[in-house]
Amino acid sequence: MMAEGLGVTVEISLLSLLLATVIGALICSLRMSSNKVVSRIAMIYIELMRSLPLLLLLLVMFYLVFASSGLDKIHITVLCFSLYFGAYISEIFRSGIEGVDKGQWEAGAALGMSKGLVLRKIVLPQMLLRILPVYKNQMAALIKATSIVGYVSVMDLTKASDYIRSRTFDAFFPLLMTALVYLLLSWLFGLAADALEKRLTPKRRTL
Amino acid sequence: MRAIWAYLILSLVLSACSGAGAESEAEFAPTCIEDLSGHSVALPGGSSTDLLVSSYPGIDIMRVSLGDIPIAVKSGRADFGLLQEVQFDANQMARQGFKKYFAGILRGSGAIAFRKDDVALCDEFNHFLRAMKASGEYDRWYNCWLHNLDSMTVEAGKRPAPQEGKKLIVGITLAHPYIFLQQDAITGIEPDLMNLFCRSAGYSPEYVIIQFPALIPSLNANKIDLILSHLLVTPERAKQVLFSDEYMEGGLCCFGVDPQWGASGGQGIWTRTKENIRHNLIEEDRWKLLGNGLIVTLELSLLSLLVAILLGILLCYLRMRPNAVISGTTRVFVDVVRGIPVLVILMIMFYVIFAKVNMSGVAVSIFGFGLFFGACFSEVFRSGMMSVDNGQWEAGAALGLNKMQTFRLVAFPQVLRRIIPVFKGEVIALIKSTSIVGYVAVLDLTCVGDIIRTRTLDAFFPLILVSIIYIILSRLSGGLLDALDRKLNASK
Repeated sequence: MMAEGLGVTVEISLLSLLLATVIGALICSLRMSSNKVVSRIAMIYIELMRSLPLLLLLLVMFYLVFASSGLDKIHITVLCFSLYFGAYISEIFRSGIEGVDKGQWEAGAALGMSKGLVLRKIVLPQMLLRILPVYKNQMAALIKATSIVGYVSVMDLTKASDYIRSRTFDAFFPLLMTALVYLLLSWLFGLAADALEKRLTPKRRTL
Repeated sequence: MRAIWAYLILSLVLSACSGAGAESEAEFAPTCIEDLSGHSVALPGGSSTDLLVSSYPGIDIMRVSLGDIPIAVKSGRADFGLLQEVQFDANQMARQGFKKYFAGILRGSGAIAFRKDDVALCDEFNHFLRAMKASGEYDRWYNCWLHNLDSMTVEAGKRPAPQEGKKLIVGITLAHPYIFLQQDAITGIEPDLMNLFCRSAGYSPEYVIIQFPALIPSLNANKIDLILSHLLVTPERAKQVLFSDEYMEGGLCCFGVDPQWGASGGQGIWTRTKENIRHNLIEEDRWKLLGNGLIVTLELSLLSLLVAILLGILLCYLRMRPNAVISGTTRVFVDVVRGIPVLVILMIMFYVIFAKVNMSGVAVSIFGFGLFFGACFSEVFRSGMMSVDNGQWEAGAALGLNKMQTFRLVAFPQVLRRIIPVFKGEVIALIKSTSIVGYVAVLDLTCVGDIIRTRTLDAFFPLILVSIIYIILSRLSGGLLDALDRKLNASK
């Protein structure tokens, strides 16, 4: 049961992680668009997501928005987490892009490169390196935030331990076990992110 | 402000859409549990109902909290729900678009649970119950409750819980009509019985609301003295707790959405909103509940923030010590705390660390949040400290300032300015994450919203209202910190 719960936690985390990154990139491009209306809408979206508790968003999604749709509950949670963390990630991306000096864009243009090319070849590599630590934190937060999905009857790690607790009436062991597993998950994830960071650092790159 | 409007409009549109999408399947009327195979069924997780239904194959079980069962069914999330028959009848759910399909599942008797070693208290209660049953008083009282719920509620309201005598902490789960909140006071069949007992035996009861699966662990962790939650007597439970005499018969019924019940979508949106406000806020003074929840959320947020800031400063200081052992230990501590979900930390605090100490859920939550966010803050503070150039410290030393003075006069103003944007994000995160304390029996804003939802069977309005309050709270605190930021930057 614990293992099944762990599987669900990992599944939700990974899927949301991917989707949130995609949504984040999308919102970021909207937010940085020169069209005022579009960027305003993206801004309001970000503000909204950042000021709503995740639990409430989950409840609203589950009981209101997708109430009568045939969507699987795990898919709804993934969607909800992606929308929520997408807003955070878009801001991370934006700060990364804005952190790259304007001169770099101008230099690229002077070399006759198109905007997309400058972004891909010059800005993106620098930006990735810069945002990685923050991005890592946000992703660790996402993994931990999945612990609330039990509220909408998804059997994740926390809910599984809760269930075991209610059957064995032992508070201590299941809880500590759960904490340990989460710790391990965050640690593994941190390792993976660190490895990526090392690969991206040009000075330390070993091929 | 913009965010609030956007949210309002969005939710109104979505609610309109979700209402229109209601499915109109041909009626399927199950007559026994076997018939439920291939359908989703909402029931309280970890209960004996759960255990029973789990033994049938092919049923998609949705484990939700007790109050969410009708909402899960109404919103189409689950095809059917299982509830105590008394609950279905007394809530008059048949008049709210639900239909009872069959009853008589898991017939059995409920009793009060005491700690194994608390034989004296158990005997005392049994004695009281036997006397009441022998005089015929019990049957009269019980039937009165079942058949005249409203007038009995009023009557019970006139007999408040005794305030004098030895304190008795009673763990309960809200379930209308057994136990519910009425104008800020806990009432219902079971509390009324408890109050009668306490009055005759000289106790003063204090009711603590706890999630159903956590009741027995809380009892064995000495958090509560007894469980009053129509707990069904099962051999498995009897190994863990001491049951009193049985005092209540009960059985479950299976219900679904009534296909004959027409949707009331015909009214205009304003009439519906007015009706919602009346139903969810004015009736039974529910706004008072909401107000109390808001106060608890504010109190929790502010005190946790204070604890977290102090702890963050301490951890940051220890982490930056030149002594490798101290800074290494602190680092491991911070990493461990940050690696565990706040919810799990909260539960460990509540059920393991402070289990034996008599502390309220609010105090435990403040410690839990303080610990978690203290670890987060310490990293924020440290990154701020690291961003101050080493040359600044050296310059301070060259001017003859000692380390403390350099920190106070040179480094600190810079650190403050730099960390405020990150700090703002963390503070908002803290406020929002207090929404999970319902898990450890604290009646905060979210939890109160849930309680109202449970009573009015309306998923939409309480959720939206509570979300808007959170948005306002986050905006306000963000605005305050922004103002501070501006003030600090103006002095540059």
